[in-house]
Amino acid sequence: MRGCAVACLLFAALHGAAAQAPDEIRIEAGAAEVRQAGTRSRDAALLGVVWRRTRDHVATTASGSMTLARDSIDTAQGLLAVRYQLEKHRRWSIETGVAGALFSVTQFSGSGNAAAFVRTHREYGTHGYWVGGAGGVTNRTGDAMRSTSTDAGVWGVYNRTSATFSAVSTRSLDTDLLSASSLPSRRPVGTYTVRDATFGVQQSLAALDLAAIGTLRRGEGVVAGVNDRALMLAAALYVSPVVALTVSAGRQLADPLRALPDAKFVSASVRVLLLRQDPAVRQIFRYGAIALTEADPAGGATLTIRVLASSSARVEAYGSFSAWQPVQMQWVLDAWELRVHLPPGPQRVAVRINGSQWRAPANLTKVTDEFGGEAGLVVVP
Amino acid sequence: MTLRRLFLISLVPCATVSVAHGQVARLDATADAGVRRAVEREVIAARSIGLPERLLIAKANEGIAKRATPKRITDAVAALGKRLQVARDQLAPNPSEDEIAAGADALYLGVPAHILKKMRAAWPNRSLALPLGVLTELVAKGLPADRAARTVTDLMTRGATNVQLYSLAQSVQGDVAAGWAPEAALDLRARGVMSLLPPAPAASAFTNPRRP
Repeated sequence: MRGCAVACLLFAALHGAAAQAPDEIRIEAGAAEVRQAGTRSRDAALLGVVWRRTRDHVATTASGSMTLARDSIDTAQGLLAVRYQLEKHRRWSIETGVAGALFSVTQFSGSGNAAAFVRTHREYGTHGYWVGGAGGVTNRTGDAMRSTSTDAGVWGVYNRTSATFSAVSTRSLDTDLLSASSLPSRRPVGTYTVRDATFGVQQSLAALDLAAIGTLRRGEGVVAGVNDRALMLAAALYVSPVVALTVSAGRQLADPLRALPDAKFVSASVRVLLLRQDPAVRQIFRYGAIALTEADPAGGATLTIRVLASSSARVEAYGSFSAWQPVQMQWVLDAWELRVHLPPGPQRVAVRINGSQWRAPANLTKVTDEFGGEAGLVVVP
Repeated sequence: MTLRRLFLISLVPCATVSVAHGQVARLDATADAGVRRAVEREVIAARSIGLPERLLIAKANEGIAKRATPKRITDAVAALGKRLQVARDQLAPNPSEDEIAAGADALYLGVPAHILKKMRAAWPNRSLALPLGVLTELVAKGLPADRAARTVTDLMTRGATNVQLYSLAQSVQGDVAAGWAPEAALDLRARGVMSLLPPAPAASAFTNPRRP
């Protein structure tokens, strides 16, 4: 039983160092060295796929990952999550999803884990918080061991740095997991509770994304007095707009809800982005604003401007399309957005937040006008 | 001269002034009186030589929206009038309003006037609005105007479509955003488009411009 789901924790670390684009398919493949508590290190092959699609008020994410190590570490996991932004209260969104895992995939044993979660988010553009709960059941030897958790967290983005703090309380009957993790020195019996405080920080430096996640844990119930801590580090270097090399290392504490064991790991992988609206789409998460054009069959193009800013901010766009009159942008899901039809030819656009200086969207070529202002140049086909 | 002919002649300046006043009336209501008069003069002058005066009014409104000083606005409108005239002349014989606007935009960002003429020679019967926009974007991205113009004109001469030229600009933009040098990105992407086109004719309009 010691060999159980580790794929998820590895990809959690890898994905931690990745900006999420509104629409994308991301494939990652690599290798890792994994050592669970009380066992020797093992080499493993990793494969992960993430699909994400955002339409109007709904963002859907599906992912799958596998760890192949020719022994019981073999694991397959899947996740499906949907996030819905309330139309009348745009700062609020509800996220729900399910996750499943099969242990020992190549030596099918019928053991696995299933979990479901629901969260509510309140966002202010550059910061926000969430509250949620989850429940899961793990089956290893025919006995179903239930776990439940409640969690709350806050997040914030400042320039190219983002930070997250969360507090999670998990109550579980899955004592096998703790036994495998060598958390207490002897096998505990009965329900236990672990309380975690997790802090994550991510920094984007040009083509390099860095992430660190640290956790402090306190045990209660049959694991009372057990305190532990862990740290994971991850980095992704984009060698082109669609290819990145990633490395990660650290320790993940046991997660009873998803049946993840305590493990230390080092991994390296290649990430490829297959489906993107535009090579510059990830810049929205780096530089705050982008403008994308999509050709219309009838001629001209639809220009979509998206700006990352607080949902309580006043975000405007203007340009040759509006005869340089400011147009209020709309809050859509997780960013400010404006869509406008443009005729063929060169056009100029700029955005501003709370009446500040007009700026060119980051992915456009900047031009300075005769009045000392800045705008982005768009060529419409 | 009959009375009827006299009547028609007398209508001409009235109509011109009337239209000019109509155009100026579209100026932002907060326009300074001095700006209004200066724009009116430019509009009348532009109309008399067949230039698209709406671009001048749009420029004035842009300055008003950006809270520029009256002098800056009138200077910008006057400078645009000159660029429109140069663009119209270089893109002769029958440039469209979009082409003139795109040409004036290119001139503003430092594209030499003679390049407009060479691009017209490359595409005498097709709209240059998009190629000029692509060239403007490449130059604004930091590419030397001659180098960018040579590439765009070669592609036009080889039969590149507007979509291919647009894709070229988009790709270069993405590459530069990813850290590539503009010239290296242009070379790479241009080769990609070239590979899709038929072989070049004996000489391109840019490398061997036709003499008048």
